[in-house]
Amino acid sequence: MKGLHVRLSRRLGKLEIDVAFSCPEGSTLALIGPSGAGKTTIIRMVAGLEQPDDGTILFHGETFFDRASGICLSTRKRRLGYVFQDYTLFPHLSLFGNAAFAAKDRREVEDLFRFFGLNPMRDRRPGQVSGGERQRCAICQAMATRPRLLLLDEPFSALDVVTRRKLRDELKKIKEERRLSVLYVTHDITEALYMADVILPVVDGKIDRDWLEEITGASGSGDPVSKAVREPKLSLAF
Amino acid sequence: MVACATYSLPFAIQPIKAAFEKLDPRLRESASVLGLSPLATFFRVVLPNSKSGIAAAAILVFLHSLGAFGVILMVGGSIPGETRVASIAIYEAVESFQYEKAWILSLAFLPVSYFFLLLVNRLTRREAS
Repeated sequence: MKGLHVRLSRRLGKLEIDVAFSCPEGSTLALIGPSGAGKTTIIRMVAGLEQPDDGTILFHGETFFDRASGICLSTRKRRLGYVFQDYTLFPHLSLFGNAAFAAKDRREVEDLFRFFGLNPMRDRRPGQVSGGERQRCAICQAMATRPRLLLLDEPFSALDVVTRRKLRDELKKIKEERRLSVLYVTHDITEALYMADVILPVVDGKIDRDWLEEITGASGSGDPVSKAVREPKLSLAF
Repeated sequence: MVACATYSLPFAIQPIKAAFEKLDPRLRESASVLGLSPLATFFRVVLPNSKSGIAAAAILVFLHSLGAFGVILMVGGSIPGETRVASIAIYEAVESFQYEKAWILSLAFLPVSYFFLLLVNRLTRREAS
């Protein structure tokens, strides 16, 4: 059973997360929705940083989590790449040191640094470079572990429009080169339309297809999710 | 040495604990996502990022040991060149009415203590920033 298959539920105070979705191998699934909808919690549960109350998480036939049979694979054994929302890099290491921190092959990090244009600042610490450069480095760090699944939590939210466009182009290119499965969290519909093969609107912890229809202005018959993907012109304004 | 270290240990625990607690929990999460075991995370992420707190703790223990009196006197006695530390030397100088010697020894402590306290202050501020 290739790809990511998720069915999980979790209560967080008033918010009750209850979702089920699949992300086919090599494709990008965007979880989109307003702030506080539970998107980050979902991605954290997939990574194993938080545990669902119930459900199953399977990836390429491997059980990451299954409440019924008591299986919960530790985060490090899931072999994922995770890019945190606010560039979590190790402050005591240089950018290159960060990217090579858990790299399988340092030459691969060199290639990634060339690809992302980070060589001129490779010896600088994260605190000495811009947000865009930190973000690129965080992506390099995640990619250098050769992850099977890449999880991105609003990776461009704090960047200016130009850097954001450039970075998402670079990310899309490298993702396609490596045929990576990507789970992508964003509240930006433009980004979701550009990056994703499948868009999953999450509102108040549930999948809510009507919400996407409302914000894109799409109406009429047809699945609003696939419609939004087919007709990205619906919401291409920043 | 062992008695002194044991006696001063509680003074090290608090700053080290504070340094560990101040560490951004996402760094540990990031290490875990990158495949590090908890032990490797401790040595490769937690310790290097708590250096200032650990250094501050070491200095506080050193300063506390510098002024230690009772424990050293009880366990080690006052053997010149071996277990006689500055605080015991001051005590003995006072006991034998050598007040000048006691004054000089006490005054010598003052700049040393201030220097290390300033260092602790600096390290603590760095940790906070």
